[in-house]
Amino acid sequence: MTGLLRWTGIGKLISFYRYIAFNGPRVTTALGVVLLLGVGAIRLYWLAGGFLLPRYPTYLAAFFVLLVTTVLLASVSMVMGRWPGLVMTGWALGSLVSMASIAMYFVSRTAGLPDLPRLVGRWDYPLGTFAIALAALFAVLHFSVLTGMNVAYPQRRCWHD
Amino acid sequence: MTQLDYPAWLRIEHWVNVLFVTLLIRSGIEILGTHPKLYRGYDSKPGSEWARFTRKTMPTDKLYDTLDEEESYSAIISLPGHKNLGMGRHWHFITVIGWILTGISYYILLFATGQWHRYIPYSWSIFSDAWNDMLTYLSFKLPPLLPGQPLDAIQKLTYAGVIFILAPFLILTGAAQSPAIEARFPWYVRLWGGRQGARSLHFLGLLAFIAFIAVHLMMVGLWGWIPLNALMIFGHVRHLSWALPASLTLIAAIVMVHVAATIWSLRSPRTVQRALGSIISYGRRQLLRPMTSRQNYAPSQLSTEHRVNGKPPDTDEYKVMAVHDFLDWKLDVGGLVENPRTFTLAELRALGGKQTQRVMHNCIQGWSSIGEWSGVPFRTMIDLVKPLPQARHVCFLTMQDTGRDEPSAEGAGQFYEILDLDLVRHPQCLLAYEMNGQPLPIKHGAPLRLRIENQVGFKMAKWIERIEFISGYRGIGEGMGGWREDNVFYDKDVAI
Repeated sequence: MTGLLRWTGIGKLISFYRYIAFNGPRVTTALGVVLLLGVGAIRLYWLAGGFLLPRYPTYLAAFFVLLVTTVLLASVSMVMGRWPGLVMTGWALGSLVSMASIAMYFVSRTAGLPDLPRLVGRWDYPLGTFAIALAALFAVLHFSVLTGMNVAYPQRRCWHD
Repeated sequence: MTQLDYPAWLRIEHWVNVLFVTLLIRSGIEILGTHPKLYRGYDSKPGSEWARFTRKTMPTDKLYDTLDEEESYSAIISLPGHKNLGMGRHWHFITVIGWILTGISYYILLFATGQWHRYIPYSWSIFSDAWNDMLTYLSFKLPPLLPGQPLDAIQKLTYAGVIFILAPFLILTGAAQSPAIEARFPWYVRLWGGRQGARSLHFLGLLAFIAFIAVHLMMVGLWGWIPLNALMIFGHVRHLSWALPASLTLIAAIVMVHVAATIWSLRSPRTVQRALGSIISYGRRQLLRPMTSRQNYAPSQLSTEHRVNGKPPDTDEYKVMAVHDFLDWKLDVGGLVENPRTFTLAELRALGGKQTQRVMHNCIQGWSSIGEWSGVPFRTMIDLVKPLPQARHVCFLTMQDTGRDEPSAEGAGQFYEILDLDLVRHPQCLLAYEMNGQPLPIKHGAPLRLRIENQVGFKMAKWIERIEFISGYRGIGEGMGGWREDNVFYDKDVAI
C-alpha cells in the first residue's frame, strides 16, 4: 500500500498538509467558537419562528433544541483551558453536531424528513446554505487541529527554531 | 455612458495578467520556501513565527544557519522549484516589472475609454444590491446583472477591490521588503507593522489573490465558460464553437511559458541570471541605488536574537585567532589604491571616528532583525587608502571557505563579495567590529564584517581578511560580482 501511494504520488499529495502549520491557538479557538455558535444561533432563530415553513414537527424542534444545547456545551468546553481533555471533547462534540446538522439538512432536501415533504429539493434557502457552510467550516477547522496544521487553546507550539 | 463591452486592449491585458499573476505566484512560493516561516513585527526570533511551511526541525545542540532551513518545493507549485532562490527572485522581479507596467496601462485605458464604469461603483445602492446577490448565490441561483453592465453588483465590488486595492496592496507590501526603501524610509516599514509584518501581509495578499482566482474560475463556470470565454477572446458572444478550443489554447500557451521558464531556469541558470538580471539591475540602480540609509532605531527595538546565515571558518588558524581575541588577525587593504595598508584589530579600533548605528538587517531569504553595529565608516578607509581613479568596485575577501564550512550551500571556494565604489561611500557603510556594544560574535562575522544598510545581508561579508579596490570583476570567480552571484545565481545589486 505504502509503495502504491509512493509510486502514484498520491502519498505525497495526501501528506502535503504536513508542510503547513499555524501557531494561533487563541485565534483557532475563537474562530471555532464563532462558527459553532453561528450554527447554533441559526437553529435558535428557526426555533423562534424563523423557519422556512410556518410549522414543523415536534421531533425537529427537539433536534434543534438538542443541537443548540450541544453547541453551547461544546463552545464552553472548548475554552476550558484548565482541562485540556475537556477542550478536545468540546471540539469533538462540535464536529459531531456540525456533521449531524449537515446530514439532517441534506436528508431533508433529498430523501425527505417525516411530515416535511415540502423541503425536498428546496436548496434555494440562503440561511440554510449559510448554516451548512458554517458547520462544514467548523468540521474543516477541527480536522486541521487533529492533523496538527492548527493548534487550539490551550495547546501551544514548542518551536525552538 | 460608454458601452461596457470587451475592447481588444482589455482582452489582451486580461490574458497577459493571467500569465503574470501565475508567474508571480509560483516564483513567490519559491522565495517563501527559502525561509518558510512567517512572523509579526520587525524580527524573526526563532520559535516566534505564526506560520511555517516546512517539515524541517533544527537541532538544539549545534549551530545551524538559515541555509539549513531552506525547503525544496516541487516545480509544480514554485518557479523553478528545488531550492533555487536566485532563479525565483529573477522571475519574480522581472514579472513584477511587467505586471506593474500592465497595471499602469490598464488604469490609463480604463479611465481614458470610460471603461472604469464597469468596476467603480457610484451609488450606495450597490451594497444592498451586492447583499441581495449574495443571498441569490446562497440560493444556488444566478443574480441579475446591473443594468447595462457586464457584472452583477457583488462581482463589480469584488473586481474593484482586486484591481484598485488588492493589486496595489501587494506591490506596496512587496516594496516594504526592500532594504533600500526600508533604510531610506523607516516610517514606511512601520506603516505595515514592521518588516515581517509586511512580509506576512504580502503572503496574505497572495492567499487573497488565489481565493479570487478560484472564485473567478467558479463564476466563469457557473455563468457559462464558453460564452464568457468568447467574450474575453473575440469580444462578442459569437464563434461559440471556437471559444472553447481558443480558451484551452490560450491556457496551454500560458502553461507552456511556465514549463519553458522552469526548464530554462533549471538547465541554464546562468543565462537566466544574465538575461533577466540585466533588466532588473538597471531598474534597481535607477530607482533604489540613490536611497541612502537614514535608520536609527531605538535601543528598545533591538532584537533579542539574530539568525545566522553562513557558518564560521572551520580552521585551526581561525580558532587560534578567536581564542586570542583576534590579536593575530590582520586586515589587508590594497589593490588599486595609493596607500595599501594593513591593520590589526587594535589599529582599526584606534582609528577614531567610531560610528554606531541601530539598523535593520534584511536577509535575502526574508528574515530580519534589528541590531546595533559599531566600527569604522568605510569612507574613513577610503580616505586612508586613497583609491586610484580606475578603481570602480571593492572586493571583500573572507576567511570562509564555503565548501568546507557550509555544507548546505551549493558550490565551494573562498567567500567574497563585490560592491560598487559609489555604494560603499554611503554614510552607513561600516566595517563593524562590535555588535550590540560587545565585540562582534564569531557567528556574526568576528573579528570584522561589512554593514551596508541598503542591501540584503549576503553582500555584508563576514570574517573579512582582505579588501581589494578593483576596476572590474569579470575575471574574478565566475565574473558575476560575488560568491553567491557566481554559485547560486543571486543578483549583484540587491536593494530589494
